[in-house]
Amino acid sequence: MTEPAALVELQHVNKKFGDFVALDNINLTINQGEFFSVLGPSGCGKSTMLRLIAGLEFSDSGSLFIDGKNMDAVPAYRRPCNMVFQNYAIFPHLTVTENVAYGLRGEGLQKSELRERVQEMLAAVQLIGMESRKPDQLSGGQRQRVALARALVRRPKVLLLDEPLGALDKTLREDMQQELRKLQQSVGITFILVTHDQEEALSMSDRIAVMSAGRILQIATPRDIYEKPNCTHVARFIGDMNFLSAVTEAVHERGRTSVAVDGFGKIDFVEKLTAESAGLTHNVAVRPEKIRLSNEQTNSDVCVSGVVVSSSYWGDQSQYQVVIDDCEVTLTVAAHNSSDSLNNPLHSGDRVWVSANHSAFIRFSGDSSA
Amino acid sequence: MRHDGTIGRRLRKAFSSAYLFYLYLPVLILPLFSFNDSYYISFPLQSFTWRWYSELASDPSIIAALYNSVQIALVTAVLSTALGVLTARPLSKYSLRGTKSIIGLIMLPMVIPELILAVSLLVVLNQTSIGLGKWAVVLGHMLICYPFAVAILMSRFEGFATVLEEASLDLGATPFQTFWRIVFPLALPGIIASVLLTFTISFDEFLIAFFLSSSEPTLPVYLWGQLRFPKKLPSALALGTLIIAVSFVFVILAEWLRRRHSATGSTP
Repeated sequence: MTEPAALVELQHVNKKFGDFVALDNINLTINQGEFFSVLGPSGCGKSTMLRLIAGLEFSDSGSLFIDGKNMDAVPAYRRPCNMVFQNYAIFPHLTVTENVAYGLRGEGLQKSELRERVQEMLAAVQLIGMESRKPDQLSGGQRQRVALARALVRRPKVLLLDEPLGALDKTLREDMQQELRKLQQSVGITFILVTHDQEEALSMSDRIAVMSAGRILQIATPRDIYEKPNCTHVARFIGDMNFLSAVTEAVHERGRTSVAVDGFGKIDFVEKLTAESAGLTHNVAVRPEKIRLSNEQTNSDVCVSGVVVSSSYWGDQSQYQVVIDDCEVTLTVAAHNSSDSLNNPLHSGDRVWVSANHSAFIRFSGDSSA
Repeated sequence: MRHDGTIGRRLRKAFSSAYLFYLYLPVLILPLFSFNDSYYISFPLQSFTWRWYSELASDPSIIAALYNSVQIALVTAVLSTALGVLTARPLSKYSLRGTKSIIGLIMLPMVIPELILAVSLLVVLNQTSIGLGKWAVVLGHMLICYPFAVAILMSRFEGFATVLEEASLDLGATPFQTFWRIVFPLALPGIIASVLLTFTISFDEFLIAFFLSSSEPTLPVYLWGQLRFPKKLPSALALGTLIIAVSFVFVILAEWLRRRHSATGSTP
């Protein structure tokens, strides 16, 4: 693959609303043709960032480039990007066709060409037959498609999506996620999706930026965000995580370290944390699905015994709370119900062996706010 | 409320009937006698006639007064609605400091006695080059119509989704195009309602017109003048009937338009 070309660039962007810091020194590069998601809790500044790119909000300092051009003096209606708004913002007094054609009125197209492009777009989002309907005669999913068609028909360089699936019910949302991903791949337009739904971000994106309190915590592929979160905030926000306190026992040559992890005892890691030395207290985290429960002792890297204190059945998996013997540590463990090594379901009070591999453990220095 | 019983209900019914009777009977007397073939307003009724209406139509001074009234009401309605749009839009869109005091100030002419407004306008306008006449009446009427226009338009603009404007800008429309293609059409029912209502207010208004119209009487002022001549009274009744009918239609139309589909852009 060739080196991806930067399409949207934010450099040292700051934005305040009164005393509230919405964006705190944002640096971000989004590539041509990328499906990029911005993930974070509400109020983290992700929507502000999207509105800034659209030109509906202006930064206090810093610059924004789209396709190499500085956007500081470019108003919203001249930017090569279009937005799908959170509640779609479809014009209530216009029909489906008029809504979709709205953005082409200033393009100076021939009538026949305009009609052709609108039809083509309506077909792409499966709205054929709805042309003359008014928005109040459409379902939520159909309105969503109108909003999408209205933005895409202008063939923008960047499509901005502000929680576009938030108002849909679960089944429809999952369908639309797949459709959106397919659509993005077929049109090849850069998509920037803002969402608070981690599954949505993980399943659709090429890369994800995790935001919190106006700052970007990590930018990485979905796999890396999940497997290698760079701080406890990201680890906590994406998926479930068990946090264990740990103390460094010794740092050996080549960065190999021995660490006493609460509940699991001594674990050897191949890489040391930056500026790590014996006696450092830090956090070790492990995902619930990376821990195995069994009736017999296993020869995994670590294996300790414990007692199940509660269990809940989730269909495809079961979640257990396990207290490890001789310490106060409670672990959350997720076990797939199909490939479970246990034939019988576990109940609270059952004694189990808890095992995991070294690679399942993630270490965080510094922020011991867990 | 449990022991409301039949007595309470009867009392309420009796009161409502009495009220409606008192409210509409005098108004109904007017059309009744405008079709009565007699100079005197007294029972028993004489035969039915269109005479007073045809007399109206053939009286050039009435036609002139009607023309004055329509001119004044039209200009007043358009100007006060335009000003109303310019006022109601920012007041409902932005949360400015002192919005409530501004609205209070705008609504003030509604509670100032019209007679006092009329007298003070007479004094002031006499000192200026505007003088008295149709334009003076327009200025006076705008003062009392503007609060109504603002009130109607604010109820239309409130809850107006700013996001629709943003969507329009995002789709390449300039702020000017956005106003004409999105804001204006969505606010149109409110604008028409405001025009109709302010037209009616101006058309029916007497005191200000009486003081300021000088040699260009409006219809109500002319009507007042005719009451001195007993022989003209039935024609005056016919004229009054017409004014009531037109006003009635206008107000109903305005209210119907104001209440029709809301201007919010959010999905239901």
